[in-house]
Amino acid sequence: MTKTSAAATLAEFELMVLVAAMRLDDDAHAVSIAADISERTGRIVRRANVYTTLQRLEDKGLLTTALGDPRPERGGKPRRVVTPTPDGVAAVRATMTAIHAMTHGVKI
Amino acid sequence: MTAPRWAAALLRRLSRATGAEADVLLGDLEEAHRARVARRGGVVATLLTTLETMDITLMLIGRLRILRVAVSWIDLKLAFRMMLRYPVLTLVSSGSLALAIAIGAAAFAFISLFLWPRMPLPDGDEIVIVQHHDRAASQPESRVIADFLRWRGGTTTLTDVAAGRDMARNLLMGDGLVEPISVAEVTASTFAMTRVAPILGRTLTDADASAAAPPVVMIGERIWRDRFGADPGFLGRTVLISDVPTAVVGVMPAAFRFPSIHEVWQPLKISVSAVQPRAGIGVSIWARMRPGVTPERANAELAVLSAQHAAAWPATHASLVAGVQPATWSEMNDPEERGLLASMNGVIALMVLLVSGNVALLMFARAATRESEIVVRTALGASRARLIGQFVAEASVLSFLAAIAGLAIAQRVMHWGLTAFVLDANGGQLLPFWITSTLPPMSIAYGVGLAIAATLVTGILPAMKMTRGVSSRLRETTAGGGGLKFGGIWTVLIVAQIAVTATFPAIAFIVKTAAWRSEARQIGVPTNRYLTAELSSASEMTEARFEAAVRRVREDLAATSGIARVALADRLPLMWNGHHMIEVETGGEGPTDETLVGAHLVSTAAVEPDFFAAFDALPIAGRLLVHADNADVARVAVVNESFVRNVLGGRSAIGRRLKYRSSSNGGQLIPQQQWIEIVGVVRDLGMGAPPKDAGIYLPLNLHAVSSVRIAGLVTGDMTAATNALRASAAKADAALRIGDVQTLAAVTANGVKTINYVVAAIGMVSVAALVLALSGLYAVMSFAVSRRTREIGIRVALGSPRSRVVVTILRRPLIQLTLGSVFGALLTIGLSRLMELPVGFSLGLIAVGPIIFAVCLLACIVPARRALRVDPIAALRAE
Repeated sequence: MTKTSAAATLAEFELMVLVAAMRLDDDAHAVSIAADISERTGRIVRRANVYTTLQRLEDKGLLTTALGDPRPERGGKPRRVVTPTPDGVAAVRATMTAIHAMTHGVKI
Repeated sequence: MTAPRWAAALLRRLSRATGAEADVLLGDLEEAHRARVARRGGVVATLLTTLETMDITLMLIGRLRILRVAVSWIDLKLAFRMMLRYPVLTLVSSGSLALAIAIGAAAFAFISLFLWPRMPLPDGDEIVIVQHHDRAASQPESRVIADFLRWRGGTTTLTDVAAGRDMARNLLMGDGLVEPISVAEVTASTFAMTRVAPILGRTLTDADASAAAPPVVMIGERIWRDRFGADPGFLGRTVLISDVPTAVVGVMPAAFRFPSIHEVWQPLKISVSAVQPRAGIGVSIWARMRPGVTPERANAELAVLSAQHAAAWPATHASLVAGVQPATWSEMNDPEERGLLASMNGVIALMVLLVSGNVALLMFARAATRESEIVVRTALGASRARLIGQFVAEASVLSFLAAIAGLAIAQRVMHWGLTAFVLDANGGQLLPFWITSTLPPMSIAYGVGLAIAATLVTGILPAMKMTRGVSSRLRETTAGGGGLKFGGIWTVLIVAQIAVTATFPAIAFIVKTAAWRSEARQIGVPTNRYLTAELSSASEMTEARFEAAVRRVREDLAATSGIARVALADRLPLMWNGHHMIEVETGGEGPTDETLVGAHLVSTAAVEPDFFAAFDALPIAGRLLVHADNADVARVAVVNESFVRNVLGGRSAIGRRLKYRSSSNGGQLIPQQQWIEIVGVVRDLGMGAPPKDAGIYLPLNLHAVSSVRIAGLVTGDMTAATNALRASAAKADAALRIGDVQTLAAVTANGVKTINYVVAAIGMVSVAALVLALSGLYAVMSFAVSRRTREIGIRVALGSPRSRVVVTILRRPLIQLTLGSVFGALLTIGLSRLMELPVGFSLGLIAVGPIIFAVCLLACIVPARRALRVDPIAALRAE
């Protein structure tokens, strides 16, 4: 039996948001995260849900956000760039491990 | 293109209240919007951005401190329980909202269809029509084949350039039946542009358009199913199109009728070597804008190309300029009319808000009965947000049910409305294929938006009022007084509702009388035994050929067994003949038009001499028309009895002369400014619209018209006679078009059916208005009783008779009812005056007032009974 780590596990959408933020790296913000999830999963992603989830993950200390530079394609307005914290990365790892442990050996 | 301005303002306001960063949210909105515009076009992007803004707005509202406690499942469960506990209130509230949402969504759909029609084809917004305009002559130019040939390979902004024209032809079926059809002669590129594939066979190709190619045709699914029994082996069969054997190569889906009402497509044959600039046949040019191209960019390019054409062909193209326009056209082009129609949306939204206000009043009245519960819950520590959440949950359940019912009703209303429109305004002809009776997504979104607005009004307004200053009310209540007040604005609202309620049945009645008049019209012959049809000339027929063909049909039909008498006329009895202004030489004594002294409004029909015999009309005075009367310009006329009565005041008509005013819009048949002698009088044969049914019969000149109506009295089988008529038309001339084949009775039936649709629509609105008025009154009464329970208790304890208690309670609603009924009666009288109805008639309509009064009084009975059941001891103890 594989032991899971003590780090917090994530709900499905939280996991997607954090993984998308990790992949997008410096370009991670609400619009790009929503587009990334939508493109890869084919789901219709409501950006309002992304905002709520980002707020919750920030409250839990799993990510930090910082204001970026103003951009012309955004009508001269800045982005809020998202960066997962080490705790956030650990939570992703713990959730994935738990999923693998549960699905191991199961024909799906 | 940026995100909508109102969205930015709303988000900024809410961000301030919630501590969110407005700039980041707006930047995100802008970025996502631009990406959508590039991917899916401006209109779809704006719609999606609007929905997204609403979504984010709701998220921000959820973050507001006041609603921090979100609506929970328990709230929803409680809401359902409350709905079941007060079934009448639930029914009245959700019914009122459903009707309001239905009217709102259906009206929005109608207005959108006629003001902003959209092409229902894949990426249909990209399809445009390229129009040429002669700036010097200030008129459009359609002889543009040479321009089309230069552009058909595409330009930098346009692709799949196609051309076509509309042709009137006859389709002869294998069974000998003829159907008049509108053929779209189009280039093969039309099908690539529309991106619609045939359901059977292939589309037209460039090879089909070559001069040597055998004639081919594509037909629509409806004709394939209705006339050819959806035969899968139909491809390759030959049909006769205006006498030319033509092979069918494909079948297009029923929903495809490009460019507007067409169900038959043939290749447009262009002899490229013979094409001269600005010469030859007139065509329309369509094209698809390349992805991301705006109409402005396309117009800019066409301006440059027009200048090049002007340089190449200076003699013909110097003042010609091309530009793109939407390929759909609106039925309404006057900017003032468009503005007026668009503003109807605002009026309807206001009506929905008023309805919501009414329902809010009901909710408030019910909430007032729960004041103690609210006070106790507050004392036990329930936050204001928690209490408001409960109210919002109840309102959202009501609105949800109302939205579902309302949208279903709206769909039905759309279907009715369009059917009535096709029957009435469009004369039974098909509408352009972009006008369908399906509720468009925009109007569903509008209906849902109305439901959300209703939730906010019916949930938050009473909740805010009920939960404001609960602590101080706790003190007041225990001291024996109530803190809630009832606003005077509701009184005005209810009075207005009752007035409108009393007027609607009158409107329905006035409209219905028109139907009764039509139904009751008798012309002394069995109209259901007369077979009628319209014979018209196809595009290529000469006047002489048309006249000869019509005469052949007439003779053929007269010789058919089972058909007794045949007549030809431009208008048959019971058909709308229009009104014309005439003068009578010696002066009539009947009613005259006020603005034109000595002039009279009459109807006119042009008939062949056999017309009167066919309808059993003998001369009452003088003689009937004879073949010798038939001249290029009419010299004699026969009038009907109504003419003698209304225009001549009963004096002798024979020998009198009449003259049509030159302003009359009579076309070729009406002789202008020339005296005509009355030679005979016949009985009334259903002319004009009663009571104005004075009529004149002139001799029919067959070579001066392009369409004529034929009628035959059928003594045998009607179906056999119908088939014989269609076959006669096909045999007489392949280019002769036959349409509107129906009995004379059906002519009236269609008009009556349309009126009945309108009456049904008004009836629905009347019911809605009645429900609203009743719900308003019920709310007022319930509120009054709930607030005055203690007072009633004291009055009864002090020995006040029950009748006086009831009068005290009923005083306010009675005043409202009386005022409403009086205003309603005044409105009815005004309407009757406007419709020129007799005084006795309007008095009859006012009689509806007391009925409404009595029905509304019923709404007061339930709360009044509740007041009488108040036990004085319990009422005093309760406080």
